[in-house]
Amino acid sequence: MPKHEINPNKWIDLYSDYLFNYTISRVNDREMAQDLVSETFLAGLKSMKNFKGDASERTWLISILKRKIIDYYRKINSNKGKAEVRIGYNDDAESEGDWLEERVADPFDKTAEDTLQNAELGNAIHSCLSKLPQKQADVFKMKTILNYETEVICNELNITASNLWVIIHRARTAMADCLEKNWL
Amino acid sequence: MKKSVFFISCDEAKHICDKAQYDEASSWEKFKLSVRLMYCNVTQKYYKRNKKLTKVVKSSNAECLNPKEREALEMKFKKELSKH
Repeated sequence: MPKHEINPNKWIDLYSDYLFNYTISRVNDREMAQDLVSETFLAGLKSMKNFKGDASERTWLISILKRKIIDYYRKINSNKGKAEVRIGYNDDAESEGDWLEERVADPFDKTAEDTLQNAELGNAIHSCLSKLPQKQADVFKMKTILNYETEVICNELNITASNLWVIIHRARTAMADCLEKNWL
Repeated sequence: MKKSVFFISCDEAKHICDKAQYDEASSWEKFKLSVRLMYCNVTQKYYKRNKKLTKVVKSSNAECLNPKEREALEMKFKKELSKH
């Protein structure tokens, strides 16, 4: 008997944010990340028969997504010439030489290690979020990650402000517990 | 019992602490919280942990779909799912 079962009806609720976060930290383009996640789900649907149940659904979907991201970069690289033209070279005489400075690594810029660590932390946050009740997860995401105003969330989810703060309190406590176990 | 102007309950302190993480606590609320923080270990612990969580989430640059994006994704997926 397989260790894991597949249920595409729950994919959007359970994995869309996790996959989106995973993708955007690698492609850095919101629209493209949405397309890749959508393509991943559709490809998952098509190849559902191949799911053996050895790995979890999420791991299986991530493996599809990784291939999609690689394909995306292959496609970009095949258009490399176009990409090079996009580099803005300023040939204004007054600022001659500035372009070189612009291309020197910024010491305050993120290192590859920082980026990797942030991506892992982002994944840990989404793993913890997936363990919360749906409403808590939604409110936490809207308030903490999307930085929505309290009023907007209340209108969107049809809850009162005091309700929102109770939910936020529970979500934050659960998130801190989960992250302490898994990350901090 | 008459409610004190300066001294707040632990639950109220936690509530203000949550609001402060989103810059939604007023100066007066922050003052009351800082009074409570001077003598209450539970509030101190909660405050420290809550601040740490905010810092961690911010530094992760975690992203998620907004409701509209999610709805669009769901619609597209459900359309395909109905064919299976």
